[in-house]
Formats: sequence, structure tokens, C-alpha cells
Amino acid sequence: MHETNLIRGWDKTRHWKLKFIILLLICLPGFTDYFVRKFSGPIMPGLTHWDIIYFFLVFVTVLIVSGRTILIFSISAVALISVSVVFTGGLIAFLRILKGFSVEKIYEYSPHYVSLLVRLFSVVPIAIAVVATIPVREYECVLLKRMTGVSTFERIILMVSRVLSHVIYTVLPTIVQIMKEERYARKAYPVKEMLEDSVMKSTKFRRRVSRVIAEILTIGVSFICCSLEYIPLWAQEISRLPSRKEFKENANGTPY
Amino acid sequence: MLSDSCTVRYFRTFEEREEAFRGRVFNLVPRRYAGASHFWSDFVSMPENLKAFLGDSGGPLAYITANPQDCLAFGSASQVIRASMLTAKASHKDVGIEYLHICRMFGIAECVDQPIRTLSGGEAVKVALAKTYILGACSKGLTISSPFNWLAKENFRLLDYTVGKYGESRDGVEILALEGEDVDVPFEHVYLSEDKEYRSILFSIKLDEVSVGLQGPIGIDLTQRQYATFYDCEHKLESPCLLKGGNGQGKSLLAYVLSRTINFSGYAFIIRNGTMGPSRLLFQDVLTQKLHRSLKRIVSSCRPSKDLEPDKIYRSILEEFTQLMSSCGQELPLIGHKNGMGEGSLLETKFMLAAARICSLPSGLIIDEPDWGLSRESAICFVVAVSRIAHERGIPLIIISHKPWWANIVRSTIEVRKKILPHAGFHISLTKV
Repeated sequence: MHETNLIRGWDKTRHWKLKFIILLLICLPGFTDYFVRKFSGPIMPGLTHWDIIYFFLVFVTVLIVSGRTILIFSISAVALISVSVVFTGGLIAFLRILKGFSVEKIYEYSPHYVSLLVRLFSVVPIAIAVVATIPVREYECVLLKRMTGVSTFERIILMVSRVLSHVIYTVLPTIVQIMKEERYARKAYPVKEMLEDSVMKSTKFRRRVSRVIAEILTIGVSFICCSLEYIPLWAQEISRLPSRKEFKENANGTPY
Repeated sequence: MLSDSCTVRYFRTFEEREEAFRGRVFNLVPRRYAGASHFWSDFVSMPENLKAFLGDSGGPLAYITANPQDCLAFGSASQVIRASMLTAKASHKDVGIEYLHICRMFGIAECVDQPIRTLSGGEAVKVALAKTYILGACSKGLTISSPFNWLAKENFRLLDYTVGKYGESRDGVEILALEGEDVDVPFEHVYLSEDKEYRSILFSIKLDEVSVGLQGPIGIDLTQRQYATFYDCEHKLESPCLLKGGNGQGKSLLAYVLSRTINFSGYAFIIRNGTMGPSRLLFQDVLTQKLHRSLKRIVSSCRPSKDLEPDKIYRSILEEFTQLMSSCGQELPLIGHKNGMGEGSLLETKFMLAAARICSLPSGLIIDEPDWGLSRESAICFVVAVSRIAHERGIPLIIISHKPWWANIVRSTIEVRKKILPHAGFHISLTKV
């Protein structure tokens, strides 16, 4: 039983409030920065003893409370974020110093990025675990079970969850599939060949950059159009649901 | 078969049918097929349209869209049913039937608690019909878009129940269909079946330990991980080949695997002349493909040599199509109104995307539901035209459809069938017919 919990985390629907409170308490030091800085001295510039303790505390808590799956997902997410935020940021800062655009020295920048990296590895997993604990899907399912009308808040929840589920499970996979399908066109006829054949006289770099920008724009437009297409139809159906008060007045509140 | 209160209107093109549907629902569906700028201008005028739709005398109109899953506004089938009952009851109208009875009547009792996204095509259709059946108590009429495309023959009685519910409604039932959509016999035409140039190509499909994860892209709750596995097989086939099977049997999943647009483990290949390479796929929803990348960009990204320019192939397909349509005694639908390639009708988009794929000389070209958005004759002539052009370049063609039209067009058939396994997803088998 204990092993199962470690692998899967607690049953998602059971004790979710308790899990939510535990994770929220673990969140506090990371987000408020209170204990982290107040009670510990530095091991090296940008890294304190408490940073290390907190880092392990977060990982153990997420593993026990939310399970291995959430932990692995969190590590993947944090890896992606740290590559784009920390390493790219650090690289830009380094290049600025190298080119003489910044008067500060490299050792003055470094602690900031070390601290940022460690902080990301603590804060992102715990934040993901907190969000994953809330049983949105289960709550959504019980919304209409009472059959006694819906409140404005419930209407918003219904609309938001339908749109999010459409975006996550329909729009995103479709766009990813189309992008994957079209990669074969590029593989078959590499950019180099196209550039040689091109009548445009712009440089290779400019051509590449403009192509990437154009592709990002079209993907964005496509994403927005696919996400918005059925919102008016869903909105009219959700708006037709009676409010609690209206339902009581009209149907004497007798549920089915 | 359908009651007298039901009117069926036939349209020659997808655009005409969509316009008619939009007209019925006060333009509540933005025109995605008309491009991003039209889409946006339609979308920003929605608040007024929404008011007009809800404030229309006699109560709002019930409807089912061309893809029934899109008209389900709630997260699960049970919510869709309960919401409809709540709406009907709030209008002082008694549905006259209980929740569980409706679920059993429409055959959705087993899947009623599933999220909408996990429903198969057939289940989504039944839920949409059950919803409109309940709303029949408080709606002024019903509009259904292309039901003969998405409704399997054995479920026609469900359409009958629903249509019957609107017998006394003010506006009755209007079905908007594409020409020939409801014809369920194979297409017969001498020109197509006896043409010598319409030669066949030999190829094979080989699957080895293929397994596909069925969780969503953000499926962080993996405690109930499910897989679709394919039985190992190797089939020697002739092109054009038809993948047939009922709704939700895994035909499209097989197409995604063969074209590698989905992540999977194992090996899946189309083998032609002893070589294996990537195959290309023309998705069912070509509108998303068109929006995703402008046609100009698609053309510019596949220009291998002057002999295989997509523009040239596009013109060849168009020429073949025109010839086939005239030999069938059919008028040409909305195509070729612009010189060369550019933004155009759904049919033009299909020509364009097929041309772009043929250009990359894939080991196979797969067309998912070629009849989607096309009339019967247009769909058949499109497939024949594309297969001729593809065969000239040695590319085998695979089409996916559940329509019985293709019996005289295709040279081989594979039946795709799903077998559900308890707690472990399902197995998909491919049988050569």
C-alpha cells in the first residue's frame, strides 16, 4: 500500500483538501522567501543551506503527496523553463559583458543565476503539484448533478473547462500533428536548395528569420481560430441554463 | 423513412452548406473556411448574433453541427443530457422521460460519465441526438448539418426518434446535406472502372509491435494509462487501397501511425519497390491544415525541381478532375476561379494539399475521409484524379472511408477492427478483405 502511494500519490479525489493544505504550507517559504533567507548562511554566492534543504523537502513532499508521475512531469517542465530562462538569460548577460555593454563583472551576475536555477527547481514542482491536486474534472462532473440551476460562478467554470479541454485535447494535438506531417516536406527539400532557387535577393539569415516569424504567426492564427470557433455555440447553451433563483421560481425547485 | 415535418436540402459545395447552416443559427459559427480575417470579423459580431439567437420568438433553434462533437457544450455526456433536461424544465416543458431512460434509449448508458474528448465518433453522435431529442420540448425547430456523413446506417432509428420529437414544433426539422451524401450504393461509371490508364501499383503495409499511448498531451494523471496496440501484420496490397471500418475502429489512428504524425513505439511502414520511406497524410479537416500554413507557404516549402512543381501537379489534378466530372455528366463545382494556386474553396484546398504531398514523392499518400465536405461525385472524381497523378509517379494511394461508394474504384481493401481489452486500452487488427 505504502509503495503504491509512493508511485501513484494519494488517490486524486480522496483527501484532496488535506493534500492541498500540505502543499500550500510547503509552498509558503518558497514564494514568500521568508525562511529561505532569514535562517541560513551561504554555502557559495547565490546558494544557502536552506535552499538545499528546501529543494529536498519539495521533492520528497511532491513524491509522497502527488506521486512519481507529477514529480517527473514537474522535472521536465522545470528543465524546459530553466533552459529558456536561466541559461539563455545567463548567456545574454555574458555576451553583454563580453561586448562591453555592461559595466558589471561576470562574478557579480553569477550568484543571481545560481539562485534563480535553484529556486526554479523548488518553486515550479510545488506549484504544479498544487494545481494538479485540485480535482477540477471531478468538481465539473458534480456541477449539474443537483439539477437545480447553476450559479454565475458555476457557469464560468463550465465554460472555462470546456474551452480548456478543447484547446488541450483537440486543438493542440491537431496542430502538433499537422506540424509533424509537414516536416517531411522540409526534409525532402532542404532550405539550402530552396535558397539557391530563390529569386529573392535577401540574405540567408534574413530569409530564415522571416520564415520562422511567418510560421510562428500562422501557427498562432491557426491556434486562435481553432480555439475560438465553437465558443459562441457553447456560450449560448450555457447561458440558456437557468439560474438557481430562476429555477426555483419557474419549476418549484423539484429536481429530477 | 424520416417524418413529413423534415425537409432535406442538398448543396453542391461545402461552402454553400456552411452558409445555409450559419444562416439558420444566426451566424453563430465564424467562417473558418473563408480565412483568418473573415473569421475574426465574424467572431467580433457574435454578441449581437447571440442576442438575436436567444431572443428569437418561439425559443432558440436546436442544431447538430457537421462534426457532432463540436455542438456538445459540456465536459461529459452526462452533463450534456442533464443540461438539456434542465433547460427544458426551466421553460416549463416536461421532457416526459427520465435521465436513465434517455441514456438507454440512445445507447449511451455505458459512456455517459466519460469526458467528451474520450468519446468515439459514434458515441458523440448518439449524445448529440439525445441532446436534441430532449431540447425538442423547448425549441422552435431543429437543423442538422450533413447527418448522412456521420450517422452509421444502424443508428438511423435514433435520428428518427429525434426528428419525430419536432413534429409539432414551429419550424420543423431541416437537414442540410451535400449532394449524394445519403446515397449508400457503390459508384458505378464505365469511364472510371474500365479506364486502362487507371493502372494499379503494388505496395505493402508492415506493422511490427506498434503501440500508441492514448493519454492527452498534458496527461499528468497517468494512473490509468491506456494503449492502442496493433497486431503485427504484413499485407501485400494494390493501390488505390481502402481502409474501411465503423466509427471509432481506429482507421485514422492507423493513418497517423503510418504517416508518423503521432508518437508510437514499434515499426510501421509502407513499402514500395522494396524501399521504405515516410508517407504523407491529407487530414480529414483540411481547413485546419490550410489555416495552419498559407497555401503559398506550403507551395514554397516543396519545390524540388521544375518537373515536379506543385503548381504543375495541381493543374494536372484539376484537368483530370474536370474531365472526370464532365464524363459523369456533372457540372464543375466552385474551383479554378483564381488563376493558379491561392486561397480558394475546400475542393481547391484539397487539390493543393494533395499536389504538395505528391511533390515530396512519399512512399505512400493517405487521404483521410476524402468525402468530407464534398458531394458524392466530387469526392469520387477527386480520389480518381489524385490516384492517377500519384500512380504516374509511382506513389500508392490509401483512402480512409466508411462510405460504400468506393467498391468499384479501389483495387484492395483492408478492414480495421477494434477489440476492447479490460484495463488496457484496445487491440486493432487489420484484415485484408
